[in-house]
Amino acid sequence: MNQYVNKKFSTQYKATIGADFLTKEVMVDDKLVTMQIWDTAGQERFQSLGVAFYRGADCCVLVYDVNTPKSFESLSSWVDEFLVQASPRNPDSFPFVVLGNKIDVDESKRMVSARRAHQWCESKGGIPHFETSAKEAINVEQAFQTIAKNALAMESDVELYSDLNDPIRIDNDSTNDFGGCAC
Amino acid sequence: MNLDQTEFDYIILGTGLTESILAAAIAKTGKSVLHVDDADYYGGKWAAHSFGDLLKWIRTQRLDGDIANKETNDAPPSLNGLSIDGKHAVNVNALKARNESIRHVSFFCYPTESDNITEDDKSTLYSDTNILLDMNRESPLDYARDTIVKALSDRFTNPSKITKEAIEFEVDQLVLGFPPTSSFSLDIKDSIGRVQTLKEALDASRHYNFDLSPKLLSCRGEMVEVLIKSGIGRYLEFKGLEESYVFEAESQTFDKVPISKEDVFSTDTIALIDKRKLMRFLTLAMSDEIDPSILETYGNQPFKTMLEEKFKINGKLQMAIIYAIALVHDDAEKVSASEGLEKTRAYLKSLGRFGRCAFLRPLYGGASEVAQAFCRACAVHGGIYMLNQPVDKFLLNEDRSQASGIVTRDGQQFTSKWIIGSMEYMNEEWISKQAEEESTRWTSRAILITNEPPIISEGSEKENIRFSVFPPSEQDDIAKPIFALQLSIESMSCPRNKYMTYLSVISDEPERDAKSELEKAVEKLIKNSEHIQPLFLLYYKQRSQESSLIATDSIPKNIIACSDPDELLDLDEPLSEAQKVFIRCCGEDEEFLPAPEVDPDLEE
Repeated sequence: MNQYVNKKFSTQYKATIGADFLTKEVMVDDKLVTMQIWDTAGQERFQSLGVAFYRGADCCVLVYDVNTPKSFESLSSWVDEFLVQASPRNPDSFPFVVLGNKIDVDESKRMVSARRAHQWCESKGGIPHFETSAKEAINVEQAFQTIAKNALAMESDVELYSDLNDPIRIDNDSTNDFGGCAC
Repeated sequence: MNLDQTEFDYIILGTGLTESILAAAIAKTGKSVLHVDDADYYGGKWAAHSFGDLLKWIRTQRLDGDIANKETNDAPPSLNGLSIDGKHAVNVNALKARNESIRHVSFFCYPTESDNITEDDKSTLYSDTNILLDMNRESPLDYARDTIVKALSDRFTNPSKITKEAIEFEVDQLVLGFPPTSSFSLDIKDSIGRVQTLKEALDASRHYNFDLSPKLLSCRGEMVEVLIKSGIGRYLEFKGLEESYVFEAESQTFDKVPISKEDVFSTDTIALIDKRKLMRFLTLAMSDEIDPSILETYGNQPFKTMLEEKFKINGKLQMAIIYAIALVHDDAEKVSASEGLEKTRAYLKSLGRFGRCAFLRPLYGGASEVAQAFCRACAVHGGIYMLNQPVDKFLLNEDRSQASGIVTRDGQQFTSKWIIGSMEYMNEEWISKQAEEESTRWTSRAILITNEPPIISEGSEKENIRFSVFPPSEQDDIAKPIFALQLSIESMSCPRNKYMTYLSVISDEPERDAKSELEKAVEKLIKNSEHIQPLFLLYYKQRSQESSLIATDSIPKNIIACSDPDELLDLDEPLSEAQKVFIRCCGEDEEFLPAPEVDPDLEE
């Protein structure tokens, strides 16, 4: 995600609020949309993501390491976990995208073949699948383009809640200070 | 669930708000943090539950009231005082303690009819609804249960998993009130209707967020400042509390409380002369330098006296100021004029910062959303999260003055220099019996789900987030102010076309049930419009214990307790406690949740 948004790659996790939650403006079919990308910040390790993390997502990106079979094998349970926790309106058509990352590592170490991953994605109703390298920036742009496109195609939340007021965000940029009392 | 790393600087037990704020603040200083909760959800006593989870919670509280005790009995024999590897072991049972903090749970489900039901379905559903229960047999309740479950299931063609769950819940509730023997005829017509109400809500289970300790953020409160400064506010979204009302006993109506200048002028519920008085008072409360002679005369007198004598404000206007603007929670006589002015000022200052509202409500849940934002911040700074990880014991040194770590239910040991935990993780023996009485408070709460908004005024949006207070009233037998917060799809609190109203009142009588303290107010809400159909109503009494009731000479010096959620509306109290604990265990020199360093990579 850092590669995609900032064209940077680091092996170290950036402990900076904001680095775990990136926004990127992207053109999808001539429409400029703002995409928010949240990573799991390590809370997935002991199944401790919490419902707040899943809420309101328009697309779920599952990343496995092509050199670690276990990471691939647990994808199924993450799909289930996501659908339970996020409880999207149309679980059958909710957009997922699967990325097999770290293809820059020596080919001899690869444990999950593209074919095997592809088959699994087909069996799950044709989830788009990409093999990527965040380090070498391989396929990252294409993957996120698909993510944005599929998320936008849902537009579920946007349509569903369009009559409601925009939520209030509290960060330094959005503070509308009218100077205290409205009396 | 095994973790290779077993040594941490801090172990934090419980993911309630105070502990979560601390987790973020401590991780930010670069120290290692292990954050554990025995439940499989975030928030502890501050949690918000889906509809399905709420039903489970009710079951735990009502049907399996002693489940926590049972678990203790099943657990290995008490190791209190015994030693593990030369360390003293002290027991922890957070689930049991959490269940004990709730009393007098009563739940009502109202029968409805599904929208998409055909006439044919109707005739199947409601054909001959009387069933005869012959209770003169062995295990009569099991028999009754099975018989009614079958009778209900037969009426729903191909009952789905959710329909079955609804039936089970309904029947379990029903048999609770059964006489053990003697035979009788039971009309299950209402049960059929209740199963439909339950089924519809279970279908939308996760669109409900039942907040067990409903809270708001004051727009100018410290919590908002910390969220903005630390950048953690970026994880959250809010809606504003749009309207305030006060229930007027004389007319039995909900009157909108004017807040802004425009409100005061445009409202037709206040006479012109009262408008002038109100403006005089509000102007005084907002002025930076209050005439010292006023404070001299009235400062220590009750707020009420000042309003009456200095501003000639009486009756419903006085009620509105005391309870809906100054938000006095308890006996108004106890609030001094200077305190009342301070509270009024805090309220007025909060207006206009984020639109017209004085308070913000986090989308979905309440404090538990804020807690999860802090937990995420902790994780970003390297904190390790383990939910669904019951903690069994603390390990203490020889003279029990220091804790060295914890043992989980799985038997894993983790050590740390400091252990911070919410009250339910504290050992009973550390609680000072003397302090228990004065540091324990009870709040009676109710959650009402309806199909129409009970609090509303003409011309305003149904979905607006509203607040109403029922001031003390002899006529209505209301002894202390009852607060009502009405939420909707607008705050993502419940599905569309449903309305969720939270009621609360401070209770001086722990043994008195929550229902008797709140039902008058609930009745007024339901009767406010003939179109209101209640769907669910939950009453419970919540205990709130301050950490100060832990005797400092009995608890190991490096274990720190965090107080339960209190009865107040905003979140500044837990934040202030977190700041104090932070200073105690991280030192004065560490900054509490400083602004994030700007990452040059992220600069555009």
